[in-house]
Amino acid sequence: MHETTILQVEGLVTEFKSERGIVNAVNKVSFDLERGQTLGIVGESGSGKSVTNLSILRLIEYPPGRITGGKVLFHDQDLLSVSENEMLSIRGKHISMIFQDPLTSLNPVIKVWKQIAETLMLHQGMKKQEAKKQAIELLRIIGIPDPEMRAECYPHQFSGGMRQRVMIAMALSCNPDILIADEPTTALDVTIQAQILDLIREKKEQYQTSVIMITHDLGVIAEMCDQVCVMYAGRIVERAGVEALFGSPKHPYTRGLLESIPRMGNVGTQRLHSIKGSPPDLANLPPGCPFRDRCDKAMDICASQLPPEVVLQEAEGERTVACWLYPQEGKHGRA
Amino acid sequence: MAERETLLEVRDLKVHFPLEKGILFKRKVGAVRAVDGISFTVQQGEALGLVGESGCGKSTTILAISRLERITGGEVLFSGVDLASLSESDLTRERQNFQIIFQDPYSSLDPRMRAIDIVAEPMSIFVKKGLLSLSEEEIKEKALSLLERCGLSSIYANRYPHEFSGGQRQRIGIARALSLGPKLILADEPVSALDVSIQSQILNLLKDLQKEFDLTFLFIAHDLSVVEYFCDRIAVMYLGNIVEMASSKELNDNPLHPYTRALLSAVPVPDPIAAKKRKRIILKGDVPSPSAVRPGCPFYERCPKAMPRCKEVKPILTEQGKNHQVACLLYEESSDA
Amino acid sequence: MKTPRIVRNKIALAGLIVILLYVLMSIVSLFWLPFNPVAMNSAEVLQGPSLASGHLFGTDEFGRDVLSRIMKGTSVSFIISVSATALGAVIGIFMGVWAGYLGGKTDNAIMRFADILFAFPSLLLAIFIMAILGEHTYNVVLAIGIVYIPQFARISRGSIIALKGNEFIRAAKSNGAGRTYILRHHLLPNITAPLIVQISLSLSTAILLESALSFLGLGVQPPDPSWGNMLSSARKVMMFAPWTAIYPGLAIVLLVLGFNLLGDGLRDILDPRLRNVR
Repeated sequence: MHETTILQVEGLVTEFKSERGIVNAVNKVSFDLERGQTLGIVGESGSGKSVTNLSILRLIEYPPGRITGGKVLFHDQDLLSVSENEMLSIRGKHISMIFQDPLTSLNPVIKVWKQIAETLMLHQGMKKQEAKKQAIELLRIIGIPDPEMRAECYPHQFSGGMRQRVMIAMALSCNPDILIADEPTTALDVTIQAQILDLIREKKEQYQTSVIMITHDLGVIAEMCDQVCVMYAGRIVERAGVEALFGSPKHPYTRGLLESIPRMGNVGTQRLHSIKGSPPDLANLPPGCPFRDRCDKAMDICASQLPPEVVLQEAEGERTVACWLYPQEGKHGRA
Repeated sequence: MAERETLLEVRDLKVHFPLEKGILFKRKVGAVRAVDGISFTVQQGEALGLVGESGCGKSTTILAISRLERITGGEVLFSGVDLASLSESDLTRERQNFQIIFQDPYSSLDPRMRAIDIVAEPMSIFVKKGLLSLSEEEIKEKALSLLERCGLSSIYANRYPHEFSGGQRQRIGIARALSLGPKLILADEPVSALDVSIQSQILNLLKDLQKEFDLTFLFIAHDLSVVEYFCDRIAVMYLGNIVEMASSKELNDNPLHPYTRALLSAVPVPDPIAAKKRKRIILKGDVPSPSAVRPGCPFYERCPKAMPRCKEVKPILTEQGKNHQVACLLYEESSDA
Repeated sequence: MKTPRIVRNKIALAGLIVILLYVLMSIVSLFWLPFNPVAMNSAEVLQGPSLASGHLFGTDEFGRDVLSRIMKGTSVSFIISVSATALGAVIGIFMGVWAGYLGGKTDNAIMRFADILFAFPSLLLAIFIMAILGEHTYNVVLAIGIVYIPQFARISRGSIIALKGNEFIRAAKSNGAGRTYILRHHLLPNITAPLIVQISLSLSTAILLESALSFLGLGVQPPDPSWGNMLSSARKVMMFAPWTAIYPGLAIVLLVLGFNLLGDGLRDILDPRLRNVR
């Protein structure tokens, strides 16, 4: 653990019980978040990126879900072993989260200012009037025009972009150490997405917050993040600095993903590269590498043994890859 | 590209939804101008993209062309025939020439029908109406071969939609759209609900099918990079109007309308080095309500280059160079001078 | 040929078996009954259940055999419940489906009518209708059927409206499918699940409603037996002759249970999404 590491996730395992058996939605996931850094987690639906972050905040519904292994170290304490009461004071105050759908994450029958003020009253012990003032101030900071009047509105009277701004205001209200943004712009239009991403970037600088950005959009990752984890079937298959990852992707999945997105200004004359097949059924994962059926570089060993995470030392920094193409060049990572 | 025959010509298409008030006795209090007088042509064999943000009227345009939404005004000429004024029965006959691929692979397939029946359904309907003569066997065979052409092996033919993944469902939807041998495909965000790795599979499939069946596409998407990849020409829509139309390359290299520029600069680029260098245009505010009556430019409130005159005069699409049209007073003035 | 799905679904099978037993009982009752169900016998008034006397479920206050009366009452209860549900379902679904599909003024007119019926508690409405129509077994069917109309109308309208927005309806329209085609091929098959649940509930509440009406003296008239009027007359003596109430009550409970189980099972069977999971 470095001096600057603020959150360390180690060997996190979260499983869900389903009709078809146990599903390991998150399977031995490890990563570090540095202070002031933006860490991107990218993956397709079902890759476990959202569950990873819900697990960090212990927001997994039980049943059917359960965190069955690993550690989440935050300020030297393991969030997975603290009491639920302690967790309550951590959520929203030290680690806060914004979700994809701002409409369902806001209470439809409570005025906007009250929803923001609630967090302030709860975590900072503010009085109601003081909290209201602060809530309006927060609305102003995140760029809601005419905040005094808007504060008296209900969530449905806001547009999607404005609702996401309110969510961000709530998330930032207690000056959290970590902001987890789960697909914060997926439901929004591009021009509004640009506004929101800009806002997150700006506030992150201003408050020195560390950000975990979960998205399926590689473009958003490239614009926002310093470090990237690529998830596939519940595992991190590659982790590297953003420029290293986009510049020279090592895992065949990362490479396939990058090659399969249509690029701007690249008017379609040639076919897009595509990854064959579809993601595996998590309820009955075969042994070996979960990506091997779709991999064009699959070897014999891929079918029988799960590739361990291998740490590669590169000029730009450290990179980990879980693929048999890179056999033990460096030392073993955390398998 | 050589000039080809015009397959679809849309002239001054308008779709307004009445806004009503009252519970028992409704009265009209206004109208949502979802599509407010747009015109464009699609040549045989080309792909025209319609891009814009939610509420800009792009989906309504497709629904209006296929007469699933009532047309308030204008003409939709398909091979010279005005679809807007056809009788219901003549329209049904024409329907085999244009087919829709829908956005949502979940709600676009009837959960109670098997894959093969879904693909066969359009043919069955046409046989029932006496517009097509195929035996049950022939229909089944054709549906099977279409499913296989779209990448679904015949062992899946008897499965129900819920047994397929999103990408596979979209393949079923595509096979259905092909079953009557259409000339024009109206694709309504066909890949936006899919994961990246699946999205490229479907885009490739559509490209292949376009070549194989000589299909013409009207392709809707909010994702500019997808449209740029897939389409020959792009029309950018804002609040029910087309604000700019050009070839994909031209639009990317030389966007003229301030909205197009903002839109292009807002798309996140999957390249961290380029992303850090790029200058972004961040638009202020939200898209205004399409029910308000505004005399001037629809983009006026959010435009970083708005002039006082923009509030009063609505710009019309004018030619700015080869195959490049833009509706903006900035350019009208320069061409007047 | 695989085993029919209804056999593989244990819940549906259990329900089906219970219902078949009742059907069997009502058929048997047409040809043979242990005793004459209406003949009074003052010598055997309120005998407890016993093997020796042959009165397995005992006798009532007029000395009539309870088992025979329950068996005789089976067909009455069955006929009333099935025909009342059929009446309510056919009219209610028809109204609801068109209201939901057409929308606008038709919807408004139909649903306001349904709301008026809905405004009354079902039993009160049934009593009211019976009072107008007079006491007769057919009228019981009519009364319960009318009570059901708005319930079926509401459920089918709601389901249709939820379905209408699906893109597959648009897809069918874009292929030239007409109203009736869409209704038959896409809408009706997709609303079967809620309707089956409603039908099974209605079949069982019809039995309860019939019993309630008969209990109040508005339904099946004595001396003809129905489960309801058996309970009604048992009321006076059940403190010291509990079998007069227990057995007809049990007959109702079991049949209601059977209908509910079958309904639940059928809903699962008919939904391809719940079938053979990958």
